[in-house]
Amino acid sequence: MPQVSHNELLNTVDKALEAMGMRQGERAEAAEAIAWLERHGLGGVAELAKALDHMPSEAQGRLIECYRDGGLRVFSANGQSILSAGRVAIDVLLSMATRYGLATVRIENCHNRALIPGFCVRAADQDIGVLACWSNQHQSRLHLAWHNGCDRFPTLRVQARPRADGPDQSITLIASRAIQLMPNLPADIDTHWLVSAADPQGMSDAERQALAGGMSVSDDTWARLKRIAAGVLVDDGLD
Amino acid sequence: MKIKEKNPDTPTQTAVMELRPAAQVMRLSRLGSLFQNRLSFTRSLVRQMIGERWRIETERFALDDEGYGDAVYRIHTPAGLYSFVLFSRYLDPALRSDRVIAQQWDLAFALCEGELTDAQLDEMASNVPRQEAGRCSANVLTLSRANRSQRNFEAVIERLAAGDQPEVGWFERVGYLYRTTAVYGNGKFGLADYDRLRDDATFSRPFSAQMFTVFMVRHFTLAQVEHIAVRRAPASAVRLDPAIKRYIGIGNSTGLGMAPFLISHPQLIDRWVTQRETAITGALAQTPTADDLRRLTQLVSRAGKHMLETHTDDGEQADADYRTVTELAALQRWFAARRSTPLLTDWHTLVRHAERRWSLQTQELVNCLLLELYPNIVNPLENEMSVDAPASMDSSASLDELRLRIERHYDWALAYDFDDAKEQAFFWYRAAAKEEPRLGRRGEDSGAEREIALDIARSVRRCYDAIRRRLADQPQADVVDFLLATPEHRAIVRRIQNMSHLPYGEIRANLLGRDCRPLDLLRCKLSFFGASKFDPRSDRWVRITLFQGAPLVEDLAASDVEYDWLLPVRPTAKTAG
Repeated sequence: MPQVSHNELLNTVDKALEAMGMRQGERAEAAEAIAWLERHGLGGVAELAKALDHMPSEAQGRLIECYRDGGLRVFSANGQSILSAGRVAIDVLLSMATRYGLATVRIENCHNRALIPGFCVRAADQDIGVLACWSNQHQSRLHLAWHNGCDRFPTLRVQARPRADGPDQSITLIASRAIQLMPNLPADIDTHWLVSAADPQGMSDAERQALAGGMSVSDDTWARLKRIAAGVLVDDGLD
Repeated sequence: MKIKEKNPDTPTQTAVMELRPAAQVMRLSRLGSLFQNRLSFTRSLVRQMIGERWRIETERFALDDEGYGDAVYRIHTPAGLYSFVLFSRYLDPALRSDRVIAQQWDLAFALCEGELTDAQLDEMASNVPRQEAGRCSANVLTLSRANRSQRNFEAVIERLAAGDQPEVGWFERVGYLYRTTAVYGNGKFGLADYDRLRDDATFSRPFSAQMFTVFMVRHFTLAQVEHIAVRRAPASAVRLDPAIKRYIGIGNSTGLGMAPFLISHPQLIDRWVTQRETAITGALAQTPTADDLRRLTQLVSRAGKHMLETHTDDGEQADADYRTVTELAALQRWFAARRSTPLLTDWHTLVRHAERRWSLQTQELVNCLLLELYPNIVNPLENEMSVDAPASMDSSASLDELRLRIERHYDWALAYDFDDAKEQAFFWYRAAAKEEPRLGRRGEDSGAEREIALDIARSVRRCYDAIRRRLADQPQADVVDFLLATPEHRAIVRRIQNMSHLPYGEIRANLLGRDCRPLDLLRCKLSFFGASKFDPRSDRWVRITLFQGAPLVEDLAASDVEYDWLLPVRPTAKTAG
């Protein structure tokens, strides 16, 4: 399993996304989100690997607005990955939070939602707290991620939940500068429902380890990313 | 001292010293005329090594009679222990190449954190000589390689073995024994990320670890030639004269690979140029004393000699250097006329005179010499050369406000007419050979569809036109709606928002245009590194010298004062021999 550096991962992902046709601004920020997640032990590369199969056809996709009201906007990602739309969704959220104090963005029909905490980091840089919530029907899981303004790291929770009818491929994002968005979880949640959690201390430890020794990524995924990234190169015969 | 950039759009709010406007400083032709100066990274590093009393010990120097083998040095700094590891291998002369596609080199070396175990050394022996084809671990800070200057290398050994010193003049034209071709850092091939160095008190300054790597290989090369000479003729061989030794630096061949960095790190470039301009403004605010004038006269004299001793086959650079030599002579006459009555009362008079009459290269050389007079003003700025501000985006801003920002801060970009084919004559691409950035001719060379986005001026123009169309339909539109509708402008919008308050971040040139001189980009960055003797070998690559005239490892402990090695000149018989 190769040990890769943050910068190496960032550049390789950026080039791979470029080779797959993703637009410059979106791919740079998508690469930053993936590298940030990986550096903090949150599996950015593994989630990217899931997205790669769908990427070529959707690299140039965009969000379609379904509903708009003061402080609320609903979009459809049309079955695409959050990779290309994640950052602009956060922009919409922050813009509304600045204007209305509290903002909600819901994106229907999108994939790779586990990447969203990587996009939320910039919100915290602007002193705006973000709460993200989505469910995975297939695994009967509820995912919660919240990142308070000014905090360096988010908190992530995955809880078991009863299987619901019908697929739910949406994600809901709430942001506010004025209100603490940490969810008020039931007292017995950890003992009965908690599947996994990631807290700021764990992320800080993961980061220290990543800088000290690099990050382990799977041989297959790394080789695949390198192969895709080579698509940006030009064989000019001028060796 | 409070300083702000001179900006005609912003009223001055306090009594401040004004920096030169970005429209003057950030023109590519001026950036391509810069020289090494007091804030250059090699100069800062030497001051740091002396000030912090770094101790460099040879732990292993296992070379055979021909100079092949391994060497390990230990470096003790107040903040920690580092190791410099070097592998010297036989290289078939037919394979010796400065091109990026080379796969073997005379020397391969790395700078590491801490003391190395035998296992780590073994791993490095397998990987460091392979350079890009190998892998490094995260305790390795830099990775580099170097090739011999065949003529100097052999000639020096021959002389030393015979008991004689080499001709000093050999190093006037080729000021080194070896040339490096790349010094990798920041996470490449598994190396330590820059984030790891950011908190490292020894190497937190930009490119500090890379420059120290070059300093160490210079030290090795000087030891290596002495070693080979002694092995070749134990009875007659002599050591290099210290003055000649100091005059030997390290060469470097740099191609277009360096150019994209300047475009992709605008906040860092702004920081570097801001510190340089702050230093110049601080120096210009001083009142010249008789001692200052005397010292400056000496420096001008040295600069003239240095320029005369700078050789290049490039006609344009040779003409520019010759012009600078004649203008420096004019400067000496100008001084002579003002040495008595009336005495020069302020430096602005000198700088204005230079701007009116002399070339950009001479103007910037004069600025560089002025900085030498005021170490107390200039040196502290070396601690402000890093930047750690993530790029942000204000998505709630109005689109009209973004339009105004473009008109105010990117007027230089809007001045290009991209309907004119000559403004898009070139495109930048990454070659399959080691991913090296190169320049292609649009419409003639293949690869334009995989163009690297170094087209700031063109992107600004396209974004600006799209904004105007949007505003015509929706005057109250905000940035986020613009980005939802036209996500292709996201990168440039983010850049404009982040850079419009950083005046020196953007190089004001269209890098696609037929008139663009990529060499100017290289010289700009190399001047911040501390390069001297710019010798363009084509319009795409340049040879320079680093650390020529710098103190030796053995000088570091012996000196308490700052070493004066700006613009090195040939040692005279008095100083050498």
